[in-house]
Amino acid sequence: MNNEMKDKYQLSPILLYFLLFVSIIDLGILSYQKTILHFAGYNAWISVFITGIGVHVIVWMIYRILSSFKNEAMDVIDVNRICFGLIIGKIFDAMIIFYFFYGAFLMFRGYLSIVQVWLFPGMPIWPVSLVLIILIYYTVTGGIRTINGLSFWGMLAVIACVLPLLFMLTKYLHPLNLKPLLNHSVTEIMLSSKSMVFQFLGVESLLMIYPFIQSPAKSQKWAHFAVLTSTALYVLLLAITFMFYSENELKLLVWPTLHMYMILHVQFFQRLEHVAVSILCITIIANLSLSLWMASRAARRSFSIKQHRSILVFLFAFLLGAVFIKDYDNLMAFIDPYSATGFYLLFGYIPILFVMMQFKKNRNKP
Amino acid sequence: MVKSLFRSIIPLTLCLVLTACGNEKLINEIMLVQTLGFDSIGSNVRGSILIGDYRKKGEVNAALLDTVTTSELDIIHALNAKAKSPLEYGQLGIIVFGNEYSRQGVDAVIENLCRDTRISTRMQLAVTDKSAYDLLHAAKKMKDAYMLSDMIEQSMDNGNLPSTNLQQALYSFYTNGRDLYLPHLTLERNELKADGVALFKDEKYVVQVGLEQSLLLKMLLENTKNGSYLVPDSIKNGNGGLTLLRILKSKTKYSLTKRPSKPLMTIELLINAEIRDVPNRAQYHASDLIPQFEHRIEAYIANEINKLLALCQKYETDPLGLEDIVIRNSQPPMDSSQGDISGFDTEVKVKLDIISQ
Repeated sequence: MNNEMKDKYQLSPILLYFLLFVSIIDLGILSYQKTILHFAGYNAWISVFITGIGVHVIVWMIYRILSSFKNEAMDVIDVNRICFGLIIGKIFDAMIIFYFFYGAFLMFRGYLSIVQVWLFPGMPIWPVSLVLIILIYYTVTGGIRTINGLSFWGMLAVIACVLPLLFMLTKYLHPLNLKPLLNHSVTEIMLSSKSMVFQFLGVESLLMIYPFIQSPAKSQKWAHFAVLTSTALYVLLLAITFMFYSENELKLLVWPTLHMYMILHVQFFQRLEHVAVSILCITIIANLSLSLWMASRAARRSFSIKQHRSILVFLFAFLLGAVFIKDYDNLMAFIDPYSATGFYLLFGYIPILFVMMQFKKNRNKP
Repeated sequence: MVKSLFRSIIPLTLCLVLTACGNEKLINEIMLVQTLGFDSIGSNVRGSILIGDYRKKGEVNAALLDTVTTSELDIIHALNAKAKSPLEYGQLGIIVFGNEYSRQGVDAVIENLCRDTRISTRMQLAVTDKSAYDLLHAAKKMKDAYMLSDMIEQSMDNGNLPSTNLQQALYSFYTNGRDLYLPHLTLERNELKADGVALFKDEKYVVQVGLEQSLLLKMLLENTKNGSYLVPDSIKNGNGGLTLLRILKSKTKYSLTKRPSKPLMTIELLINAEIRDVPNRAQYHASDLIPQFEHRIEAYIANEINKLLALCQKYETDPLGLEDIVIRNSQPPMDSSQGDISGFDTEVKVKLDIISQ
């Protein structure tokens, strides 16, 4: 557990807020309304609240797990070693590396699909992939503080994209759509909450960032605040979407948030959705860079692979995968296993670690 | 120093390079479809388009192309074979449905538009009693490919047409307990005219209402700030004369009262209107002629609204979304398929406030 950080690599607690916010809110913000509609219909906003509360509990657990031994700031690699020993621990490490890489890849390909559908139909995928890959490489090799700087702008980009929708659509909203307040069963609402977990994936990055925070105990409130603001953003945007569309129409759309932009226009821009997709690029690059940084960091900690080498391998896989997956429908098949894994990571793996660490801690007490 | 400079130049250069990824499209090398029309010819569809022609500086013209295909989906594709430059429909301003076509159902087009990412949802849709081709032909003579959409938008802003666009049409089309309504266009002595609203039952056009009824519809659908309404009454002569009301402001409130038998839907309409040319103003103000006139007009408008609702009921169409209100307020929650316009009674209350100038 030789994991002490030099000050110059560390982040002050408040900066954790930007990292977490950007890793929670990503491309999903453009399409989550449709996914959670499937089970709970227009009652789905309740599900977002429930998931938000669940994620708060997970954040609390992560802090408890990682601060089990007061004098050392650990990450998930240390925890795996303590809980599962060397060999099984390494298997878990490998799974975590793959999980972060796979999540980043899906985000990367998802964003490219959106660029293809909304901005440049008929554009070959590889030139834009290559340019993004070089940008990502540049950010990731800059280290966690560079990624953090980009995350700040990423957060502003999300806000810049969502704010116009909250205020400029009032003329087209039908508040009556939110009624009846409760016409779905508890099971349906819980199933919808389960599918909403996918949108909150990203909080698990705490497992890797934790040792990089200057005074971890102080950062917990910022982690919770990031979850709180993301929940609020999700609920607000969901309410606006539900008032804007009728349920039958919403089921047909792939990216409801972008479709809402199609009605707006300002003096200089006829099509604001193009601006939104372009601005979101910052958020996506910040998010991707963080995931790749975590994957490469875990690879270095567990398998002693140099970080820039693993990043190059990951990015090469990005390029191949991006060309291999033909379109968005094709991509959907790859998203489901990730979504399921993410759910069990948050609500299975982390609680198990939590319980195990409590035992270990008690045993280590004199 | 050199390294950090180099590092900051790379992303900037890449951002510039990124802009070259899209295909370049120059305005005089593509043709912008600005108006699109659909007609039925037997089992086939005739598509006609008006294209803005921007080749010469300062000169605007419009070109008309048409083709007959078996399906709506390949109209643009089929028309491309007739165009000398590629057709782009991202700037589409309006789609016009011919009479025959809209009576057979506009669902195929609407379902396509719903997911289309190229067009703007501010675009207009309209129905005509002639063929869409004739309308486009008339618009072409005006040398303005946006003629039809501009005309409709002008009527919505300043006239009697209820405001709508693709977004609102999609909303009405896809909401249970709400039906589609679109502006109705016609040709009057070879000139284009927006002459009312076309009401739909599901995807099929069923009946047209005139401009007077359009204004009633507009007041019931939105907070109106414009529109004029002719009433067969006058302050001076009572039922003998005619008065033109200029609507300044209107507001509608819907409330649902539960009753043991059928629920009661109360529609309260508040109107602020002005009348011009009031003779002997001082005399009228002193007497109670104006309040009496207001009462008569209130009763008249309420009666006209009832007629409009009866017409809607006859054709089983619900542009106001009254069923939607009933479905959403029912307790226990009603299945959306159970809504039925005959399942509730309506009561119309009108409050008119005349501001004379």
